[in-house]
Amino acid sequence: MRVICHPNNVGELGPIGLEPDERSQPVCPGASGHWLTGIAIDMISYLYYSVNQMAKTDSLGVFEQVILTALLTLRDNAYGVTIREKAEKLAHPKAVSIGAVYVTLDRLEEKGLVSSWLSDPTPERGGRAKRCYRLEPAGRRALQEAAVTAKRIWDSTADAWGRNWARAK
Amino acid sequence: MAYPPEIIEDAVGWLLPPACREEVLGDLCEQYVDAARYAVNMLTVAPRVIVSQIRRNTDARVFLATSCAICYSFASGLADFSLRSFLMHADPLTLLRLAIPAIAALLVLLVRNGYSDSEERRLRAITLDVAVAMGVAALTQFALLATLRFDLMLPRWCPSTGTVMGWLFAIVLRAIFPPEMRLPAAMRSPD
Repeated sequence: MRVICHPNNVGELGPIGLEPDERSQPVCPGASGHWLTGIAIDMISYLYYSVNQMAKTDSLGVFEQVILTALLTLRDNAYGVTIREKAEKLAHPKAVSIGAVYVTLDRLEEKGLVSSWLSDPTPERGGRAKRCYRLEPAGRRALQEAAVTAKRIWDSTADAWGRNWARAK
Repeated sequence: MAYPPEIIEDAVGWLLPPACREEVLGDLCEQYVDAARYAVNMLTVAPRVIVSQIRRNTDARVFLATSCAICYSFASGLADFSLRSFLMHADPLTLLRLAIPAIAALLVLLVRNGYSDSEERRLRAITLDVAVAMGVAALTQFALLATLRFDLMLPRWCPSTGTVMGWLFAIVLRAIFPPEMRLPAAMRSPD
């Protein structure tokens, strides 16, 4: 539906897809698709902002903390398979897929919290190399902060729910 | 020690992005028990690593600029096109008509970003990527024609002018800002 409104609100050429005589009719921009263009521009801006913010996020997610802890304990033997096994123990009883481990390691590497390198090929892997990972100083700091926060949460819940609950866990 | 069948491994290797192919195939091989479990592992791993590589290699600003250039290319073929008039008055059906080929082309470019390889940063590879993307965009118009959805097709010369202009714009943008392969520590030993 096209809404006729004040002539001052009309663009110079009128809406596209209309015959020239139809274009001479004043059309309110808000009533004939202008809102849709606005929504599209808003969505693109939001998407752009979200993608930019995603890489800048400083706080660690729970799974990221699990992966960093696995790297900390595995030291020089940290690669896809061993990290997944360690992460599964830490996240018990939740199952951990190797795909989720790759994605998280990729994100942590992009944030500069871990670094990776390719090791020499080994026969048990069909002659393929491992990508080994290690914690960077920024990763250590982030993990320390997360551990301190987790400790405070643990102490507070133990105070609130009782020491017996804490011991049972 | 059991190894996965070579034919399945080749197929998986072809599916995985080159940047992470070596280690993912090695890890899958190390965890190999039987062909069925290997296939399940592969199906859960492959989509995640592809999306991860796309996210990693795609610069949001360049992608946004490419999106605008491709949308502009298709829109510019419309009769008496004026950007201001278009932004103010485009009706939903016109936007939908423009979105179909543009989204198809952009999806192909996104997927190609995931498969970018540092060895591949050549104008020939960029030209080929964009040609495939714009070819898929043109194919959407043929698909609409074949399914008799004339109402969703772009009018007259829009598909051809849009394809050619979009191809040129996207090549220039990708040549100036090639898909980044951000692997800061890749191939680097700790020593």
